Amino acid sequence: MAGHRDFAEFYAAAFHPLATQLFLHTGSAAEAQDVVQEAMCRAYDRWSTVAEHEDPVAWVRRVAWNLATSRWRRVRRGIELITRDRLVESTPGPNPDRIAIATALATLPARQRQAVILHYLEDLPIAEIAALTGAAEGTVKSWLHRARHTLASRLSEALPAAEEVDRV
Amino acid sequence: MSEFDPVRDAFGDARSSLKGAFVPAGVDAVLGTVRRRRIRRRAGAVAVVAAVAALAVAVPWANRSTPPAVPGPSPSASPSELPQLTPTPTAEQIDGAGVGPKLACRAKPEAYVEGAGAAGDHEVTMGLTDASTFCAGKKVKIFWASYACQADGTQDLVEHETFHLEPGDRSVTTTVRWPADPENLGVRVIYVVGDLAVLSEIPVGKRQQYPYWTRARGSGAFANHTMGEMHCGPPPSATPSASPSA
Repeated sequence: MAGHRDFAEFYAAAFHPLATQLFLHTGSAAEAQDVVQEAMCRAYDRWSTVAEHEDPVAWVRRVAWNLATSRWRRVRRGIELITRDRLVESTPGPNPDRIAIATALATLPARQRQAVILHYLEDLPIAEIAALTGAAEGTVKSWLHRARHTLASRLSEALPAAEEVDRV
Repeated sequence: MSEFDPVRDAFGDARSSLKGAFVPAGVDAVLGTVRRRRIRRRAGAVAVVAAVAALAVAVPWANRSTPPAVPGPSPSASPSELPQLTPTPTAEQIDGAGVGPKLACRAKPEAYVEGAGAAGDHEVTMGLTDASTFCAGKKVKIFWASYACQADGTQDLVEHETFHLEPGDRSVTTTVRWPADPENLGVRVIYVVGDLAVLSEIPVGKRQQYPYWTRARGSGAFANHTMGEMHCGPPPSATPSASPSA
């Protein structure tokens, strides 16, 4: 019973941050919630073990990202064919058009996008991102550097337009 | 004063914009999903176990050396030497009384349950029939599995075990276990010897002694079931001779 209560608290605390990361990665709120819920199900299925981990969130994060990456791999080709402006898709929940970073992230390669989300949104150190993605730390640094460069230029392009809208 | 960082700033905006944007399906949904998956997994395990049991039954028959010679078209060959597809042991056969002289070699053993009942809290001890009459060279696999009947009618595999009975072994006794789970309505024990499967259903918390296949009963709480008939049903209330002993 205590395990169930612990899990409920864990779920309440961890769901939203994870869903946010994965929304920014996939661009789909439904997809993000789906993979986080699935990761939570897997965590609950072996909660006695997961709860013993030093950081159970890390376990769920890894599962959720793996799920998202794997699903993403399957649908990426299709999405690329449909549109390069994939974030305009109509999904329930937050409207990505209102989030400048989401639009800019959509232009990044998946690995760079994952690294930059984990680093700037989740505040994960480079070593942890490397462990999660299975890449070398140097590679992660390179991803972050390139992602920062791309994002900074995209955001500076988008910023004046947004300010104009605000003034109106 | 900190330097303006458009990337960090944008992520900060995103974090606050998305606050409360997601409506989690909830812990109950997680529980429901996990529960359904566990049931499915156990059902899969049951299918595998049933397949193994079926194989265990089939292999000894397939490995039989030479089939017994049947002298001509006359059906006078001993029925015990012929493969019996659907053996239904009668009380007389099991008790060894009321029939002719005991056969020296049986083509297959016949199961019985000795002192079966929920001795202890959740345990039932079962035995195997006298093995001294097994045909020489035969090796018999015995398999049991216990199932917990859930409130929704589904059936979870709790535990299972397979034994070998060598010629000359007198019997084998095993203990069928299942956990005390308030969600369980009862426990079904499938006890398979050869191609004969015996089903027992014992409500949790009950202590019952089943005189199995006595001549007086012939049937009752224990009945012959094929492996395909493993599903939860109403508890065996109509078992007058299955008298509680506790």
